[in-house]
Amino acid sequence: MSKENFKEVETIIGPTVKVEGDFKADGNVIIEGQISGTFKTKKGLRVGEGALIKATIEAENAWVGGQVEGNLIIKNHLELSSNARVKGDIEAQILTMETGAQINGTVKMGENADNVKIIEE
Amino acid sequence: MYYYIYDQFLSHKKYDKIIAQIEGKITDLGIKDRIIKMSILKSVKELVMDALRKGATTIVAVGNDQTVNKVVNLIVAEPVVFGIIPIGDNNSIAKFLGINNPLSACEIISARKVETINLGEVNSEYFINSIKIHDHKLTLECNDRFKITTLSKKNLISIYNFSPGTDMNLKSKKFFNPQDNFLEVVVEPKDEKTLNNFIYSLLKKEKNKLPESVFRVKKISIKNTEQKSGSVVVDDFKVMKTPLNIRVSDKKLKIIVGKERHF
Repeated sequence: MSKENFKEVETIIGPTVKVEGDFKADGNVIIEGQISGTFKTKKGLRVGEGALIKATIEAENAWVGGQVEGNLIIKNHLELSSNARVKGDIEAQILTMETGAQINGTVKMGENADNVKIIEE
Repeated sequence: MYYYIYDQFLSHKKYDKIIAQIEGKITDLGIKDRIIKMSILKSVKELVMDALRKGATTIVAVGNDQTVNKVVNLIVAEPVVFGIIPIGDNNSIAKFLGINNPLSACEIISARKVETINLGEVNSEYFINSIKIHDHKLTLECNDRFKITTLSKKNLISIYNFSPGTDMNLKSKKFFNPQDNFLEVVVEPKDEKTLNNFIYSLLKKEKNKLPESVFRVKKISIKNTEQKSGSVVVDDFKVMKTPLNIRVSDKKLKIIVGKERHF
């Protein structure tokens, strides 16, 4: 997944809304606003540059361009853009980071992240 | 047996010509069985119940979105097929179903392509298209799991079963399908000069309006804000007060659609 090819979207959390609680989705999700609690999607996630997340995140793939305070559990590919600021632990099969992206937490990748599963409802 | 229920506003003489054309068309097509007219003296409920007692198998609302809402609320639990002949303004429901004008509606009813669609339920009533809320700040509790709070000062919050039209930036065909057992919550910020808007336009290096938020949900609860009851508009005409419980209804509607339907 990349920022550009993210088209088929199920949920858009725009910059003027805040979502609190236990959020679950089946499809791709774009977050440009605020979210706190837990977040799970069976497909892709795009976190925009202005997004503010205080939540544990689970997704198939993710592109992160904003702030995430919480653990990121990504089944396949996690991409962090230069503006990404992650304060939490990361688990992913593949991790791509642009220069300038920041992680404050532990990172498990490849075989060490084999137990990463999207939890079924 | 086809029953045509004319809304009361059609008694105005400016509709005489189109009514005559419709009646000629349904006669030619062999689908003119019974015509009944709403009036001050007879409520739509009496008319629909009477039609059902007399064996109506197809009930056609002749009028606008308001007519459709009134009739649908009375036939939801009944084993009938529903049709629409749109006349006048405010016919977004018919358009979404691919029914663009009164005479082509007659042909569509004759062709009788029937689809089963979801209905929304708000408290104990049904809605076919949308619920709209103009509010400064509001919290929606969704699916008993999460809350959506608006951060913008002015918002239009819409809950759709059908399409919102063509004025939105939502490209995904997954949205606004009346057969998917979901409602869509759309939050459109209406104030242009907010800090959020400024930051967003700086980050995006553009002056576009803030994008909408869209959620697919099955159940929504709207409570009073600061002990004050708020108003919502159901299917663009009926005003209801909070608190409201909104959900995808278990009951469905069999409806005649055109080839140009948007789902």
